[in-house]
Amino acid sequence: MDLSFQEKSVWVSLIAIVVVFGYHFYQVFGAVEAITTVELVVRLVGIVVVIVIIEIVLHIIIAVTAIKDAEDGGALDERDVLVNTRAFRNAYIVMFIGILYMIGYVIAGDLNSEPRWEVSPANTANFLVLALVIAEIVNYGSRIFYYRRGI
Amino acid sequence: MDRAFSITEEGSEVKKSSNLTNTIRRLRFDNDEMTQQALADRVGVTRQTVIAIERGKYSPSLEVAFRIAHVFGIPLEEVFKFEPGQQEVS
Repeated sequence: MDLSFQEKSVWVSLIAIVVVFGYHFYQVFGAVEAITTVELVVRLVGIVVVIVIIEIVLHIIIAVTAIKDAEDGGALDERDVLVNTRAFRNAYIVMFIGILYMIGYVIAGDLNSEPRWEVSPANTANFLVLALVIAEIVNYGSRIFYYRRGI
Repeated sequence: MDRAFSITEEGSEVKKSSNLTNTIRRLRFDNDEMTQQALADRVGVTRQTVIAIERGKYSPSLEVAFRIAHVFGIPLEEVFKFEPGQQEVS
């Protein structure tokens, strides 16, 4: 499978976000007690640091193994730009739906005396993060789809 | 056979389910067996984009199409062909 530097970079980002945020949401949604705002902030900062480290390490590896493609700094050609544009469009739609869902969730939670999930600032923020993560997964997944199947 | 593209009887044209065909692969071989990387460098795209164009998985912009034709020193119509009403070969 002949992958360009750009496509390898997308795989790296997809793997990093799925693994790291997957572990985060598995812990948070599986916890007995609801997460607090301070805990969420600490977790998100840690997640950002971990993802940055993972991406740096893996990008160094793919750059070393694809020196020719990486020589131009991974510059985008017209196909890359088109792939990115279509993928961002798909991700935007998903994020839009996710935010709409969150708006409904907050309103319904405020109206419901016994909501399934506590409508706390931390929970609300966490669900918004989930919407962003799902949108990013759709972004990276779309890029991979368009690179493999054509555009 | 991949449903997205097929090899015509001429053995040198590659088409996809759209109506655009190209003879880039044959032209490369006819030009001192030019590599995909060499063509990509001269046109200003990645090697993978050249591969995608040859396989009919990507239709290049007008500028890139003209650049490709210029590399081979032939008119655009001899590199790319549009065949309206062409049916997908199963």
